[in-house]
Amino acid sequence: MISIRNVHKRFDAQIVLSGVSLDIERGGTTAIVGPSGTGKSVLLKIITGLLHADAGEVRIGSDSMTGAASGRERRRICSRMGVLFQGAALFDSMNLLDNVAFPLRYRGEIAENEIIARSLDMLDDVGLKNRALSFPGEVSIGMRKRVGIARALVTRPDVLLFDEPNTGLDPEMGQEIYDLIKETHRKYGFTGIVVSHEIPEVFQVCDRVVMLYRGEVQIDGTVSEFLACPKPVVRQFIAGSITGPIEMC
Amino acid sequence: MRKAVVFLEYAGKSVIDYISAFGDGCLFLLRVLFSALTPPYQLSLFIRQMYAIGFQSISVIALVGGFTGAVLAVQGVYTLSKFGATAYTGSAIALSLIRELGPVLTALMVNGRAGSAMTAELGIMKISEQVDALRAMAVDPIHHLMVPRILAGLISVPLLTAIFILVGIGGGYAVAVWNLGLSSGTFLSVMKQSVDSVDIFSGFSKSLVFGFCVSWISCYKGWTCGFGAVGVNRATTSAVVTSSVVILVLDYFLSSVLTTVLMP
Repeated sequence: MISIRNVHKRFDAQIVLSGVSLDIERGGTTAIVGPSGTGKSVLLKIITGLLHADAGEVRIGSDSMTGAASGRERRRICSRMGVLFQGAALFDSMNLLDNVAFPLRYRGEIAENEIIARSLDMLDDVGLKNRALSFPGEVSIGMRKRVGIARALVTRPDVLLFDEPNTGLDPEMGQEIYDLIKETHRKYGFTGIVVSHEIPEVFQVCDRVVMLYRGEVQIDGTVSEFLACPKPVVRQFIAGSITGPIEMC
Repeated sequence: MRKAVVFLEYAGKSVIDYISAFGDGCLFLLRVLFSALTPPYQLSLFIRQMYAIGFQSISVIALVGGFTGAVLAVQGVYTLSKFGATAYTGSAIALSLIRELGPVLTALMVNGRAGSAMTAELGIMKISEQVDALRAMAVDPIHHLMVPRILAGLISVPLLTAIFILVGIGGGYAVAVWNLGLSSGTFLSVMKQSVDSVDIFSGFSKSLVFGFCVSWISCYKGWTCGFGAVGVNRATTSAVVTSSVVILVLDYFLSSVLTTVLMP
């Protein structure tokens, strides 16, 4: 479904990604984990086309995101994906219903009454139908993230990417978001990518784990393979220890 | 000698930075212009910006216009009375407002009220990933955010200038005729004789250029905003200062060119 081949990215002298290669199967959920500052969010932005890779290729199905010849072509590929940003990135000027309806309205492919009905259904799925007319500033960060998931899903994307879905949430609310990811994945069957540094919590939503460190893939395997990996970097990350080969940023 | 080298280095770097920023701003403008010609044309977004930039500025523009006209009347009568020419007060008020004060003060007011808001809003959208969210939803942020704002600024400022001038002349008339005792007939007839279509064209051209510059600079500063609250603060301050300076500098050059070209 998603093929990442030898992707490189640097900002000035700082190498962020150094030859990352991955294959993500259709319908599964892959967690990209690693310590802070190891290029997880950068990789996610390259997959979504928000950042350009210096070298390498990202393919979404048969479409090459990195090889897209024009902005229009890149936007066409983007339309197959949904993203939940760290802070949910809802539009402050719109109420929750309009936020969810926004991508459908922009595409203009279906009638307004159907847009409203589908958006309300999505808000119902995330348990916020009764707050449809509230504005993002009037609800909690946890609610904003749930609306972010509804907005990302409303166009029925093939791929859904979650950038640190639990950032800024207390454990209880964080668990609610993970439950919602599991539930929506079961219902809509998207291919999921979850960027997180929270282990073992993230394991409950993924069937595969990729660990990045210093811009390179340290391990790519199932949760049990990840937990059994003997590499010192992986062991230290799992243990959450401050002593070992991982340099603290 | 060492200090001179440091100064030259600093001055050189500043000049290069300014030229680089101007070039970047021009490229940004080219993207906006190209995007403006590309469908879909979203009229609702344009109308929303016309409301925010134009309609919501009417009251403050009218207030400032009215008092500017009133001050011109007081100063005009005082100055012209020294030459025994108070009859020309109406003409002085109208020409000052139409050719100069209307376009400049309206642009400065729109810059302070709507331009700063535009930069801050776009800056916050950028740092809170709302711009990235648009891109991720396959929406071109230039097309969705910048084009409606720049078009609305371009059209709003001349319309607001017209309101400023009309209210200003009304304010000047009220003070000159009802307060300072000038003849209403003289005020209006002298004004009518002295104001030419060339004056109106000159003022309108200026307001069009100022409206374009204010919205372009405000959008560009929001688009290139740095991180965090400090980034938004700097971008907003920079947008207001840059636009104000550009308005006043361009005003001189436009006045010179238009006077030379349009005057017989």
